[in-house]
Amino acid sequence: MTGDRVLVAIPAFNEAATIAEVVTRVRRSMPGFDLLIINDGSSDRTQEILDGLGVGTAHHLCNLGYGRAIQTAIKYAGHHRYDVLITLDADGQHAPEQVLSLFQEFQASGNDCVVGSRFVEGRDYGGAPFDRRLGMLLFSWLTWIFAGKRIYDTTSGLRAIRAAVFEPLARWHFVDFHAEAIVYLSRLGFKVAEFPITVEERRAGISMYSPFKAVVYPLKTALMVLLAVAHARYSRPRAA
Amino acid sequence: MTTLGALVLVLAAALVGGWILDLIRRGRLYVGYGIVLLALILLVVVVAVVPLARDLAQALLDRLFPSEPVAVVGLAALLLLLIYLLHQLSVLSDRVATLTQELAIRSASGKAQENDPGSPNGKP
Repeated sequence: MTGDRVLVAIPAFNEAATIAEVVTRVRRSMPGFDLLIINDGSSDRTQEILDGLGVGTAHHLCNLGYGRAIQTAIKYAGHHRYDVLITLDADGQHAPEQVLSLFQEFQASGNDCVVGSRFVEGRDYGGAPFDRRLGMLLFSWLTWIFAGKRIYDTTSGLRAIRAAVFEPLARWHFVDFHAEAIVYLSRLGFKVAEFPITVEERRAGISMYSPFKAVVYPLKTALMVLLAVAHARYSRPRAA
Repeated sequence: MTTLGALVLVLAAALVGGWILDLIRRGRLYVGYGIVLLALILLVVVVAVVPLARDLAQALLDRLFPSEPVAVVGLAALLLLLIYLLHQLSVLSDRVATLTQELAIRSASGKAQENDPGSPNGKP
């Protein structure tokens, strides 16, 4: 495909029910890419299953949260000089077969970060629960206002990231690498875009969005978006 | 509360609010704690600016700490102490998270080298 070294990273927290299938599908559909699972302090059989599969695992000794797990992947990719990092969810919602099309689009477009988006094609959030729809609308508008480009699916876990943005992403702190990361990268002059994907229903495990988080998470993200704008001003622009 | 008193409170709230925002931006205060503290500071501003809220707060303070004007100073000191403690807790938490990440990366890198010693970085 290209001479680029690509790392596929999958953060996993208590995903014993789906992780084996996801790993198998990723290995089958992307044999040329390296694979790393970030086991974020799972308390179920996730680590045991990963050991059995013989897959590379970065094991957090305690649960640090999704944002930190993604940051571990970014640090690992930077440390091992990968050219591209692709992240996807461990719950089986992202079909690994779609990742190749996203990667091809990513390479052809020259963007620094491409987000796999459920909503960019239809440009609406039909089907999502009301509270989720409100949140996604808010984050989408925030990226529109502060990044100058509307990103419809800021919470997507499927992303392709170029090596140029590893350093700024590893240096700052994010809630979950969602809207605030998009705004931060855009403000630093990096190019962020969306690529249409479809997702499957979550088959097992617990979503990270509990009712309590549904209230607190938008507040945290909105505040971090504002601070991302300020912090990007302080940081030296890294984009070429 | 006098107008000057209200002005001082609003100014102090703005200063402390700015300090909190800067701590969050630099990763020295967890954003969740920051939101709670900013909400508290917003409450102080509302009490200082809205007459009805001011009267209510005054009545509450009079009931809780009758004829103790230094109570406000005590409460302010408690708020500052809370910010400082949460700041230190966030710094500690950040260091633990960084260590955990570093351990995970080193362990994964070590295994990668074992799996593929021919490769410069190994294959995860």
